[in-house]
Amino acid sequence: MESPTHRQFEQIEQVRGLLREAGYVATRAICTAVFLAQRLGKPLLVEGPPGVGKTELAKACAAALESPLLRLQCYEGLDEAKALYEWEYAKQLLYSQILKDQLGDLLQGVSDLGEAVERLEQQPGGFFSRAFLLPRPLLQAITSEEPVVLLVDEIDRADEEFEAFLLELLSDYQVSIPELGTIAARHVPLVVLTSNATREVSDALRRRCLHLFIDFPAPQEEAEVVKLRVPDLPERLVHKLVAMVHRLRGWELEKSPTLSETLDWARALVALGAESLDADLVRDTMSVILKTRRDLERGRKEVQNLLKV
Amino acid sequence: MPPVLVSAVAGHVNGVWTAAAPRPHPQVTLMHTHIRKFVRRLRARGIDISTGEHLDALAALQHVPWLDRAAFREALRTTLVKRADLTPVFDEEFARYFAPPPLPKEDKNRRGPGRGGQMSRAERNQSGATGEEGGRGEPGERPPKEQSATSGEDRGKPDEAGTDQKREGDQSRPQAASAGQGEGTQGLGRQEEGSAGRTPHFIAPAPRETQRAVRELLRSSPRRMSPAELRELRRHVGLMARRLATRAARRRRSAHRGSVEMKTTVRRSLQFGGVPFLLSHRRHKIRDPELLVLCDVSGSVVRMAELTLELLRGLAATARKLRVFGYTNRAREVTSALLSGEADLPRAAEDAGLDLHAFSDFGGACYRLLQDEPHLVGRRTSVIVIGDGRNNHSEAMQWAFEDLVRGAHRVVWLVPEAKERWNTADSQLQCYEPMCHLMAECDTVEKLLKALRRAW
Repeated sequence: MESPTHRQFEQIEQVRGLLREAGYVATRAICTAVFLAQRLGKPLLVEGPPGVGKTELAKACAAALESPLLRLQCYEGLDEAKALYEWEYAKQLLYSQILKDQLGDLLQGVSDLGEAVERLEQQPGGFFSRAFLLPRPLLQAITSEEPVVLLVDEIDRADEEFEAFLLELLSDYQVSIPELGTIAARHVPLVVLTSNATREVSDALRRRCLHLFIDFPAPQEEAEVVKLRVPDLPERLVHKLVAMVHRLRGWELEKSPTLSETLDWARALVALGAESLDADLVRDTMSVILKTRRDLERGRKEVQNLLKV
Repeated sequence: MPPVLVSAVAGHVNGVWTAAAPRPHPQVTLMHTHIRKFVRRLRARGIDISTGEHLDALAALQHVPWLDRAAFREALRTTLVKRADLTPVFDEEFARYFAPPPLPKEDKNRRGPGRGGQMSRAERNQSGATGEEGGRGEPGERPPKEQSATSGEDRGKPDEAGTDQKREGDQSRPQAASAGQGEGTQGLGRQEEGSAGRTPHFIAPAPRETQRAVRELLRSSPRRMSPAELRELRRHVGLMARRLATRAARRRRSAHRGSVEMKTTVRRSLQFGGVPFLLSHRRHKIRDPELLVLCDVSGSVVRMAELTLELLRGLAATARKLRVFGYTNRAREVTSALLSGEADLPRAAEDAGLDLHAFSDFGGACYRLLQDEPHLVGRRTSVIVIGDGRNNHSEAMQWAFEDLVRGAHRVVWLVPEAKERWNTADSQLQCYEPMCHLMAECDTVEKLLKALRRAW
């Protein structure tokens, strides 16, 4: 199905290299899962705590494969019209108004409604053609001329029905539009679904997907991520910063700092032109990483403790 | 496995093992057999694996080099195990089934390092299969036929020679020992992640037997169980809890649409010249349950209380509020410690400042709780009490309980005692019964599930 000009992953090691070029530090498990997802043409369900880079992974995959990323953000109440396609009613109405005269010509000499309908039906195209179809991310992914990466973000926020609807699409990579017929994918897209486990994703969906769990990275990996994404931060500070974040994760905080917040903190330090980390600086910039009042108070109080890493 | 069968398959082994690259048309190879066995083991441990997933695993193995152990494991994990919390089980079984090569030092010299060694091993494998002396077989050690059989089996796996150590152990170990180092045992000790250092003691029974065993576990009283049985039971209850949670979420989302909402409908109709072409519906408000759990943490009841909490933990995701209090003679909140799964119930209660050795006194605990938190129970709160109502001859103080649960949506009392023993000796259940919508016997998990189903 795929033409040779499109980029493909050939080896697991290559995946790691390409993702790294795209600014993503991937573990062996991540590389294998992504590689297999593409090779087997199966969707990849990525789970893990918020802020470990689940969405980032999809973006990095798109960059690595040099293909466009289509993103569908899920939320409660998301339905087919918003995810798949919609008819452009306004455009249809507008056109029928503009073409009133032509329609009049066409329908000249028609005696009853049945005949009028028959004559309209004979017209090719008509109002339910692709011209009036508003494709949403899922349809775009399927009709795309080139292979794409489709990110279905936070699937756990969508309704159960939507999940069921997705099953059909993800197993056959085709959709049926009553007026147009079945549209099959030209290229099997690389589908990445993410979930924060606000609700259990159904077993049926799990079965159809490959599964990947991303946890908070080990200190060394996290330091590597920071170095890659915030290259301006002196290396000495990187390790100190990461050690502090890890210590913070060990505390029982209301909201543990995530990887993306580590990066924010690193960027903040760069912006402030920090040369070394002292108690005052940490106290001042701590709000980047601790987001509730109680956590912040505790962090400020125990800043010396934190620096003692 | 009977030796004859293995040597018959061993011919395939060579072809497959040397070829780490994808094969277009897979035949039933030794790898298929092993994956099937491995899947069976995972199923026996309570991981649901569909046939589709099984096939996915086989498909995935066509794309990864088998000699790369990490990739091999990840390929199996990503296709077979779809829940993060089951990963430890997978790792354990993987380490057990696909044990690392048992002969590290000396054998390396003999085989040459790294992959080259693996390849030549495959070559030797063939000669082994045809009945000649295989590479590491010392002549005269055992009858050639049997040897070729076991080594065929052993070498059949990707890069882990001594795979089925537990079964084959008795046969392969003498061989290793005769190599002078006793490395067979070393190999066992080297089992990686999960079961590191621990000698495996558990061989999974066939799934059907397991199901029967589980059913039996569900039917028998946890008070008389061994720690191992209890652990197994808790795991199964945990699985059930997750299923419950999915179902609860599903129910929440059904009955999606309510009555027509005028405001949006009119606004939308403007698109069509005032014709209400698209209706907008009001959504049913979802009433998230609020749960308040009071559980006795004294020794007599605590096991059942823990199992019940395990079930409720699964529901915590869908409940708007879940608060758990442990009590003996007073009540203390243990919600966060329990939900994070860090501590077991008695420990959490003790950390919260509860005297575990005090005589349990439900009435007194209610009274004090009422004083501390008078507005604990609201209109939507469902109260679950887990306890035997034995107050050690202190006053029942049912009025305190009545005050505490006044206006609650539902009050359910789960009694981890057989019904015959209710209201005997110091049990004062009858005093509390009028305040409960349901008082149910749950001395086994099966009855507990039934009671919960009846309650909601």
